[in-house]
Amino acid sequence: MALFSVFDIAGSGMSAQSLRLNATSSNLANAESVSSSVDSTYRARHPVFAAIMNARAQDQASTGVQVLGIVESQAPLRTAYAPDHPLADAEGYIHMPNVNVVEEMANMISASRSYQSNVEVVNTSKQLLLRTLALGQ
Amino acid sequence: MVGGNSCRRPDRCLPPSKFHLLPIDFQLTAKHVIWPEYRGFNRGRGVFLTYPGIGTRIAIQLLQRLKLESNMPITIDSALGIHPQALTLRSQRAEVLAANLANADTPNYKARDIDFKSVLSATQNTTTAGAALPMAASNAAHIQPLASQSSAELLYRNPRQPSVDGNTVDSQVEYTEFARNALQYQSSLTFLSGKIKTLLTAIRGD
Repeated sequence: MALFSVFDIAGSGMSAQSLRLNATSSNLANAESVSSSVDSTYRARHPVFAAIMNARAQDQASTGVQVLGIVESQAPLRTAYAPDHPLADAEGYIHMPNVNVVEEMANMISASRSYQSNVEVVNTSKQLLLRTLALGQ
Repeated sequence: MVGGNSCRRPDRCLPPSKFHLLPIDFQLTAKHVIWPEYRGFNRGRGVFLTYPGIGTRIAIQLLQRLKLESNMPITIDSALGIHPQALTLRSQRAEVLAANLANADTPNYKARDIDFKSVLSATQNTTTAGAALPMAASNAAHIQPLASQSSAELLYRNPRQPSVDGNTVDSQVEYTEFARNALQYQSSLTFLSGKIKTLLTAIRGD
């Protein structure tokens, strides 16, 4: 019954989108985390999505989504001259994360919309299956 | 109603007594198919299973035998029509569309779909033509596999606005298609349940 695998597919989509939402919230929370060295500065994190390719040729339709990993953004860090800052380094500079807040907000909306559509898919499939079970009654 | 040769086509009807006995080795063939009898007590109720002189219990036995006979002109499968295959295909299409929606943000994912009409007509042709390549069955109770399970060919959707990362999923299109598919699945279900109710009415005779 193909409708049962819809739950797996939409479930994988939901978990991937919630992970993306997690990364976005982490980025937003750390958008202003100042540090005194380049190495210890927080960098924006983004998940990498990939389709789960099923080896079975018969089942080629069931491609869920998986998170291959989390990559840290390679964009340059923001550096500011603030000698009064308690975390300023020897030259008086502080290092701020390369989180683009506007981009993260757009990311958040996109993730929540995708999550919603997956939830709707699950709901619809559940209704269809329940109606199928009640067939002939 | 018992006795009396009220059958209008004697070549198509067995004597009622033979039906009552129903020996173990009785072979039901096309010429024994129930001949509609409108003059019986079921007149006007749309019941076609009444055979002169047989009761409801025999009619149920007959139906069960009919189910086992795959080459019969009247089977449960043919009574249900195209809808079981349509349901299978619709659920497969729901799976494909759900995969598209789940991968709406996956780079390089190409949206896919099933050409429902062509696949359904293909399965219909194979089933009505007596399954192009039927599996060998050594017993009448062996079930032939559904033809539609292997023939759902996946195509790639023409993107309306492809994105830079190689993804061709258009969430709105996929979602409307999914909703349409769900509605068509439900209409197939409604048709099926109507047909099942009709059969049940025929079997019960009330």
